[in-house]
Amino acid sequence: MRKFIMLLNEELKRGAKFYLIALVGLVVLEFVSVIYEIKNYQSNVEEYMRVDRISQMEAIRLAGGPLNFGDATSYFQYIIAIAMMLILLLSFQVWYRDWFGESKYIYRLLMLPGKRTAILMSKLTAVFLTIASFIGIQWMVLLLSGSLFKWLTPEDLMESKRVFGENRIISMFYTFNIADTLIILLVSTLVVSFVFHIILIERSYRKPIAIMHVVIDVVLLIVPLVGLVYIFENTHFLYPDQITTFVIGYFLLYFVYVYWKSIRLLNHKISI
Amino acid sequence: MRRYKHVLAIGGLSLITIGSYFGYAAMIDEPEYVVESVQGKATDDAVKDLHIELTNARVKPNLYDIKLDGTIKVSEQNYLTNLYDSIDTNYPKEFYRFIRSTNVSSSEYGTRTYGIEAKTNHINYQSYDEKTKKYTKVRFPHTLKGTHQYEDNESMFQILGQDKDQLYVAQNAYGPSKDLKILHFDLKKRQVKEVPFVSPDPKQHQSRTLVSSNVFGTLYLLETTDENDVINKFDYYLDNGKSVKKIKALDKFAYSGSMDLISDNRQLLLYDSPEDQSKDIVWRIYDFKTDKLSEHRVTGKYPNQFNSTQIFNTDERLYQVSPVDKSQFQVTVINLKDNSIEYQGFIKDKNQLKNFDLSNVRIEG
Amino acid sequence: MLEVHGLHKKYGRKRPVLQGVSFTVPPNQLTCLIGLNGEGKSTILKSIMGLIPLDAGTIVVDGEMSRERIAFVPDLSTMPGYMTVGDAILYMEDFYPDWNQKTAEELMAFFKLLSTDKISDLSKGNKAKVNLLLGFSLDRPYLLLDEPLAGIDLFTKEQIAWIFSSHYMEGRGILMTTHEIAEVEHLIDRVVFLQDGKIIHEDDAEEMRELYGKSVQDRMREVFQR
Repeated sequence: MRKFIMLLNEELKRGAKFYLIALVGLVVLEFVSVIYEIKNYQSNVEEYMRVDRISQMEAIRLAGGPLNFGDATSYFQYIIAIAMMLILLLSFQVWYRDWFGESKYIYRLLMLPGKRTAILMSKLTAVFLTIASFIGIQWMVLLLSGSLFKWLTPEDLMESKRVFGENRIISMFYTFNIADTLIILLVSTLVVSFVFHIILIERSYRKPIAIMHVVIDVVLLIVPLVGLVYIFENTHFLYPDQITTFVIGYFLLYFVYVYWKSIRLLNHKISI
Repeated sequence: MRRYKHVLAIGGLSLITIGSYFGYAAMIDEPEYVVESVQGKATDDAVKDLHIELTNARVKPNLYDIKLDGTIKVSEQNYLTNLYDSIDTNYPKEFYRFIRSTNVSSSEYGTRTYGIEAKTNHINYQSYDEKTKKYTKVRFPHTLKGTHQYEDNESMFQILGQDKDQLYVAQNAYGPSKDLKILHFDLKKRQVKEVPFVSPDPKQHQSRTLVSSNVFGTLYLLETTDENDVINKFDYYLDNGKSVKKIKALDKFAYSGSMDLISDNRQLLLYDSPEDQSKDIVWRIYDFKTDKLSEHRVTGKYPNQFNSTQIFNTDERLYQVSPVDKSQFQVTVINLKDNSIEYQGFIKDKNQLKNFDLSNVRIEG
Repeated sequence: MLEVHGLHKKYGRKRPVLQGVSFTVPPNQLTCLIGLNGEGKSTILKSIMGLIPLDAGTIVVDGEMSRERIAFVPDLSTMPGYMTVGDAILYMEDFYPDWNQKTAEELMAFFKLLSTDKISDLSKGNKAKVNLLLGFSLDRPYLLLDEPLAGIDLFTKEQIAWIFSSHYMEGRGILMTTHEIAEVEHLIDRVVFLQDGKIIHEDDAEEMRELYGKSVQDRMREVFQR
């Protein structure tokens, strides 16, 4: 446990610069996008009024109606997509930085006393904490953006002061249902685990054999699942809810296999 | 501590920020619903099995399943529970497998789901009633000639009416008119008879929609369109196997809203979603025997909201649940035997959280 | 005794790098593993440490199949460049229960390294010193050294060579690979010759010198020029 926490600290320390730059960059980008949307909308309305010589109400109608918080945060979905790409990049970088570069930190990691499982878990936890902190910071930015929206937008241009439920993408992440947040974190962790798995295969085998292992593992995920669901749906052997339970159970079992194989590769196959 | 500086920093940041989100979610006000019965009692047969489901998808997607005796069941709707949203789970396994089979034509009528399978030398019939939980399975030793296999098997048979053990079914209901047959299934005697249908085939620019079938005959709507496919004429006809009679009483009603057989299949109930902002509930009953259409109206306490009101009928009653505002809902039950209000009540939120919508109304139990 | 039995390693369809390599490293002796470039010397050391998986073979250390009695000094830096020497020492202290802080401080002083020196800013020679410091400061009975004198200046070589004849070596079984044989000739107790992935000779260095009047370098020329 101690080894795991110390390794985790080291992983976070190594990625601290990348993390801070990404976080600050994304937050600034979001605030700037909100200000831009509000100011852009305002200037559009003013231009309609000036050029077409119409009332403000008419100008608002031409501009697509009054501004709501969903409009003001319309760029958030793209910024969230960038954040997801950065997390994916981090998932690769967290391993490959140990192999490439002037120092070969991977030597040190693999020679540490105790179980190598701690190496896998510390990297996974480091990415997990990055995801969790991004989700948490996005929440803070959402609240502050709401205040910014209410402060900057004139009342007569505002559709409503409502912040929640106005942006579809944001509503998907923040449903005010704690279970949904945990599900998002779990699914993210499983995706990252799979990326780690592919990296460990790549680091353990020569390219042709590595590709073969990856293909086998992808086939193992998709083919039995699709095949069995097809059989269940056509024979009606199970109710739809039972098929759902089967699919979820299969996924979880598959990821138990992914972890088992990843640990095996780390213990017996991985090469510097 | 020095050793764990970064873990504490990022872990702490995550905990605090996500923790504040969880705290915010926990602090969202929950409604406190009470039921006020103005006319009738919550324990009356009319409403004791009525479930009204309310949801606030905009903020916290909990589902409130309210019964008029004040019993409230709150279900949390999350990504996982949304995957489990199949009504099929309520069906008995054998019935579920039957109606999902490729050659079985399934349809719904009222609270019942039906499945009919035409085999070479017999007919398999199964039905399941959601309300009474009754599962019926009958094998008819008959052959149905001229049954077409359409791409969508559900179009093969259409249930036109059921009265106890008698079932009226249209075979090849949505196929070419020349293939249409009206069948009478006697579930007790295990007999299938073809009901004579003498109506001529629809002409070009005409389309026929079957409405119901009972001892008086088969009622259908005939629509005529112009060259731009716009309906410019519609008439209702009753085919009793010997002759075809135009039903002038139904002249005014285009086929929208609901038309269901009630009162032992001797009357046709017609109703639509209420007019927006009107306080009235309007329904009409066509009596096959007297060939007369009667209109009935009751006035509720509050205006109705179109698109937000749920209205449905059983054989004996008409149910309407409509929002008064987003924290109060009006429940009205009309007895179709005497066309009077049997129950009227209100579901009110003590906390007056005005952000709930009507999700579903059903009778179960 | 560090015993290496039947090591086999092959990369793909190429000829095997190691073909049944077996030898021993006695305690309290310096064993030098000698071979030409690309013969598999580093592969042997790395596979002993579990850094390269073997196709076959076993490693036994004093009767146990555990690597936790062996310290390894590789030929490259293994600490992240952003770390300082002080950070690296703290890292080792955190993770290794058999870390000897006193030895680390002594060696740091001897090598004239500062705890604030950033590893990425160090010269090749100083990086080699840090590697040695991290390896020698573990209280482990066996020590593997992979080309400890490669590519560094004369003065640093002398410093490192002094370490090899100091009390820091006492009680340890050492396995070393090096091309700088002249620098450590006088320290070598045993010689193991590796060619084409196989051990072709094992000699007692003292016997060679006394009985046959040959240095390790002489013997090396004899073996590889055949």
